[in-house]
Amino acid sequence: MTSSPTATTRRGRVRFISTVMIGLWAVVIGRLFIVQWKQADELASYASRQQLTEVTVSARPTDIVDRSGRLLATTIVSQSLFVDPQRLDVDDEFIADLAEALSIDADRLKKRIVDHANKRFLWVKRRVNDDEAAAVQLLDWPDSAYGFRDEFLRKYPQGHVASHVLGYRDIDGAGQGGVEQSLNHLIEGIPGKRKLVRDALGRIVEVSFDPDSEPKRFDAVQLTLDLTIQMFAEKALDRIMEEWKPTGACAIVMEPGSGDVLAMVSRPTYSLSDMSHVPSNAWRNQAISIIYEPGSTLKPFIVAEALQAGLIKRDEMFDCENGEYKMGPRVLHDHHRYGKLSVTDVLVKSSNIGMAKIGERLKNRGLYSATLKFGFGRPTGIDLPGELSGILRPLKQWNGYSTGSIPMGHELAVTPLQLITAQAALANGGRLITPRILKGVQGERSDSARAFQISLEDPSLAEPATIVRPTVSAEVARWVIEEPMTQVVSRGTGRRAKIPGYTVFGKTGTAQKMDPETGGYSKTLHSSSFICGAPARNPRVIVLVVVDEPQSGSTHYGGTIAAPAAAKILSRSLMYLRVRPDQETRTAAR
Amino acid sequence: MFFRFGSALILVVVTSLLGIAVEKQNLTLRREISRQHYRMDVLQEEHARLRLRSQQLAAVERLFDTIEDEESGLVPSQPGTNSFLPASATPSHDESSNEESALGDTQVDEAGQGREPAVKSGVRKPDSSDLTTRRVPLLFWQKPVGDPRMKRGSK
Repeated sequence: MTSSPTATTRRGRVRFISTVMIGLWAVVIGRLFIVQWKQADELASYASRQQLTEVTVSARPTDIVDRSGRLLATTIVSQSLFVDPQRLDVDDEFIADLAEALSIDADRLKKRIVDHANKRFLWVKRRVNDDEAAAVQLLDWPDSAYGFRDEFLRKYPQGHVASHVLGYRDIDGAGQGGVEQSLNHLIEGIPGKRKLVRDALGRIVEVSFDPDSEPKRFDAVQLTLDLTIQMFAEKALDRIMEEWKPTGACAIVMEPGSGDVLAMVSRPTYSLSDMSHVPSNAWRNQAISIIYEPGSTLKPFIVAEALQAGLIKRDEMFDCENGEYKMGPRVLHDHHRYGKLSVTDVLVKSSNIGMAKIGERLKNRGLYSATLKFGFGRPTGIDLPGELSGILRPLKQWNGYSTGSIPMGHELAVTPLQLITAQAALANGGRLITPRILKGVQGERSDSARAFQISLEDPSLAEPATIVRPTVSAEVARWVIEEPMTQVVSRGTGRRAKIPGYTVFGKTGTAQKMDPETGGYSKTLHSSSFICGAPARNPRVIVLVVVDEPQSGSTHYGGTIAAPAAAKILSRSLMYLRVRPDQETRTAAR
Repeated sequence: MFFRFGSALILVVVTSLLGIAVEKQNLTLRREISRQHYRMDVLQEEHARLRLRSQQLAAVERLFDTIEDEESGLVPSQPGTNSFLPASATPSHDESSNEESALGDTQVDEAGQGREPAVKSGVRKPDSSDLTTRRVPLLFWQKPVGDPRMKRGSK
């Protein structure tokens, strides 16, 4: 006979089961406590190591645009082909097919793969185009023997236009030459990081995005160039190269009030879309990297300084000695026999003797001060690499010859940019302004861009610097522009630069170059230049054209070779910028 | 007791299932975010390529020769066509100074176009067969066929 458990027994069983259950729960809770609390960090990092991979993501190089927002340089993604040599059978037929698909030499490719047979990674060709990538994928590849990696490819949609100003980016994405080099800190951006989450089989299941660690870049770097004016200058120089066959030429267009460089062209040039065949003499940006004796184009600055110092008067007459003047042991000559000339006529006729006499008033110290004041002898400070400072010898090395030579633009060497910057100072009322090529950056509106700016080592680097220094008074500068320099064009050596409707001012320059054989001045090698601007009362645009060693034709004068091209650039620019003609009333009234 | 035990068990299971569902939802959303970032990268690349293409097609250099070519009719071929200047403001060719003629200058007009002597002698008449110089209205309006309002209007 079985007896039912007593109440005591039942209570005992319940207690036992409860104790066991509580004990089990306690173990679970204890384990949870250890996992979630005590070992949490350790286990989390362990899991992260297994699941997460951090990769560096390069910032897409910033676009470069002109002052109107037209694209000068941009970046697209391109694929680069690599192989794993250990998994690749060096089969002649396969190598030949691969070489044909990539348009490269089969023997060289085979040699490279054989030489690196023990490696696990080898670039075959970087930045292949879409057709090449498609052709490669059609080949019969061994498993896991190849792959593509995305890389940025810089593109220049305007071809050879402004190639010297832009520069280029090399195979590793580093800026070389032009603004690509000088503004690299603004263009390259800051690389970011992305976390990849992998599953147990190593497959990427998630890409985790953190806005703070994304790559940071500006939307665009804006230059002061105007693509249309740049084209005017490019075409004008092309015609000069065709007609006069010079060894080089350059043109600069500048807005005198702001110092903005609207166009900068150098010849010979190269195309940014095909960098494989660039002549060795085409790399140099002649606008900033050549120096030459400015010749007569320097004369207005000397006259302005003499007027400013009160050493000459505007209506003063100078005896030009009928074309021959003995200055110490040296005899100076003019092209024509001039008698007495006013200050205006000294510039209009470009009389060397008249200028030498003004130089005698200024003396060497005054001449040195004038050249320094207008920025000669040191770089202008434009944001372009390779700018030369020109040659301005220390004052203690000057002698009696210098008093006659400097006023006619000899014994010193300038860059074209220095000359047009100095001319801009006269045109804008006497303020010497640092020429600008960087107008600004676009993209500050977004949070990431703000963070980018803050993270820059020096945020002021994004701001183009403008340094203004006084040279001569506005009254003197205005007189030099509106009287002698305007008459140079209306009745002097720069008559070919007349533009109907506009009062153009200008100055021709023809300087003999050094003969490499004799070491003296050559009778055949010249540097012809012309600088002009308009309208004279309120100059909006100034243009400088320098032609180095014109070969064809019987003449070498700046007024014949450079002036027509400069006038063409100027007239088109004025029309394009909708600058109202200042001679409308006067001409219409005739 | 069994009811309480069962209830507790069901509660635990339901909580777990809810947790799993929330976790799955979380993973789905994170994947969607990843996908959207990927799409954004693709679209940015597409934008860059299309912008590049459009700028290549509209490159100033490509258009410049066409614009510069007087035959295109896009460049004023006569003096006085500068909108800023009245016709009388531009000196006629006869007014050009003897000095300039002696120098053999190429006359430069307000449009900056070098002018050959042959062109100087007369005004270029537009050729009626030259479509580029023909005046074409910017807007066309074609009478709709069978529009009752037009029928009314025609009465």
